[in-house]
Amino acid sequence: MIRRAWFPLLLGAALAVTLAFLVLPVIAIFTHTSPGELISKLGDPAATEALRLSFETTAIAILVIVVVGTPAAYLLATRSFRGRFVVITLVELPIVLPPAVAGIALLAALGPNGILGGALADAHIQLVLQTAGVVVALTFVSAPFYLRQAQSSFQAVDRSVVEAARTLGSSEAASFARVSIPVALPGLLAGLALAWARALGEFGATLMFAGSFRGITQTVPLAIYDQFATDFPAALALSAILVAVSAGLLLAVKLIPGQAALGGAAR
Amino acid sequence: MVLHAELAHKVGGIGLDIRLDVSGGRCLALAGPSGAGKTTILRLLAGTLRPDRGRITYGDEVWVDRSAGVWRPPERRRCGYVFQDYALFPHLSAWRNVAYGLSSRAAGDRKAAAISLLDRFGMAGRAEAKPATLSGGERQRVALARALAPRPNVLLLDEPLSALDARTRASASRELAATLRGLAVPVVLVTHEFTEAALLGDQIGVIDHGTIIQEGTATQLAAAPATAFVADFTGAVVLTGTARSPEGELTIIDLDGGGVASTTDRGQGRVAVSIYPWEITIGHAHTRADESAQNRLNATIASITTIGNRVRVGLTAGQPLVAEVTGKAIEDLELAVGRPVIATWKATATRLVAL
Repeated sequence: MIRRAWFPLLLGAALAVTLAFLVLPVIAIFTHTSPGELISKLGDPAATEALRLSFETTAIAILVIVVVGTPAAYLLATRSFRGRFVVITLVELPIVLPPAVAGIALLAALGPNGILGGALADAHIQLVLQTAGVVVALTFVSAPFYLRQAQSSFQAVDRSVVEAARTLGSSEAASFARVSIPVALPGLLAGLALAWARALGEFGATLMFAGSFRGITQTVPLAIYDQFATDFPAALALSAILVAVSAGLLLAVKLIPGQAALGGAAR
Repeated sequence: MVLHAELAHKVGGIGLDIRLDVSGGRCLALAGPSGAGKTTILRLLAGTLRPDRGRITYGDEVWVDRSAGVWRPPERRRCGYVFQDYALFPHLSAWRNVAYGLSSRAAGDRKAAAISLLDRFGMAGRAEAKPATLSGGERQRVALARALAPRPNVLLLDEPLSALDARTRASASRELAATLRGLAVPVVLVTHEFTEAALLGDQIGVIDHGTIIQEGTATQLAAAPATAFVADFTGAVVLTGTARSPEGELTIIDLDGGGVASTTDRGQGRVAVSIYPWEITIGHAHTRADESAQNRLNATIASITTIGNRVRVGLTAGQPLVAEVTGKAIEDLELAVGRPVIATWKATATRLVAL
């Protein structure tokens, strides 16, 4: 009997080790400092400004991603054209790009001496060291997460359901709005939550492209890094908030009907 | 109004080449095996697919004319389309599915119209149900109501009964046949079952590898199949052999694998012989020849399958054949698998098809 039970035990042990390793640091954030102190640290202007800035920049970035990304993902999901595979790969590239590389790449493209630097200066648009630059960095880094998920969600919509809408009098645009989007909605929301979580945690590209200036470009992750050397409890307090929000987003992804898990809708 | 189409389209290795005319109130059933390009034909007619070449007209409206660059998108053709898996909008209730195509009406009107249409199909009680909670038969009826709601110019049906279980199927096919009889528009239906085509279509086109091989009524096709494929598809037993037609006598066919058959049809050389299973009777190996049953073949019973009140008996002879008899005959003759028997059928029931 003992001989037969070793494998399930091994599996259980592996899971226990995995869980302890992954969860312990997260628990430590909440237990290292007393809850009262964590809450009082949140009253700090540096913390409130960082929270406000993170909320604003991620909200704008997500809005841009959804408005532009949804039709783009629909096109990738429903049309076959030469080079489609290449386009999809290019769109997903930022997912695997190291954040520092993303920051350098954005500087090289949109910085003062970048490819489009002159054109942006002529249009009186300044991104580097500006809040707008944060939005650009967040969009660049998190858009692929939404695009990927949206594309696979649109692909999962039964072709004949869209065709039915067309034969019942809907133009392509109307069937997109009245059928494709509502049917793909759970997947779109999951992609939105994933992209948002990624944007909230963005650090490297923002730091390199937009810098870390309180109230202008210092989002929560940058504020955590800024404070951890001088005020560890304050850094923990901000971390706790980020953990709570990110966990909430992850939970939302899991609870959206039809979404089994992260990437669960991806085919 | 007449729906007319001549289309050429290459899809998935099949070169589709179709010409069809369907007038109002008539149902053309295109029947053929899966992969013959049937669904593609409906897509081309509805306008969700552009043909490589060809022309579609409806009355004096030109829907497609590739050479003249004319293209009418699906939303302006108004084809009612019942999809194979019904393709109901999963996020909308049954009545909203039906009301989808009624967008030109006032909002209050739409619900009333949708529900009265659902009522016609006995579905008013399920108006608020989402498609996922409907049974196969209910989905089929909602799909039909949805397709008919905007008063379409043409009705297209893709395997309308194939998603149903055997029990629902019989009643659903009777209801569908009644609905189709009441329509004044051209109907094009595709199916992989000849019996379904025979029940629902006024005219049947047997389709294989992208072309209509033969067109006619079910009786015409069964009585005079143009090819062995049509004969096989209509449910006949097909035996191959070599025919010779002596002057003034019946045509004699030397069957491949042994045995001889005769027919009143004339033919020469390589042929296929088609006989319907219900024309074949089975007797004990020692029974004497009956005068009108000219053809006799020694066989062994390979299988006995009961289908409804009929029994299909699989026979091993030089070539396999199938006889359809009554259950009583099985009992009376004490037939069982492995028993040697004699299969007999009339020369007049034997069709000759050139190979």
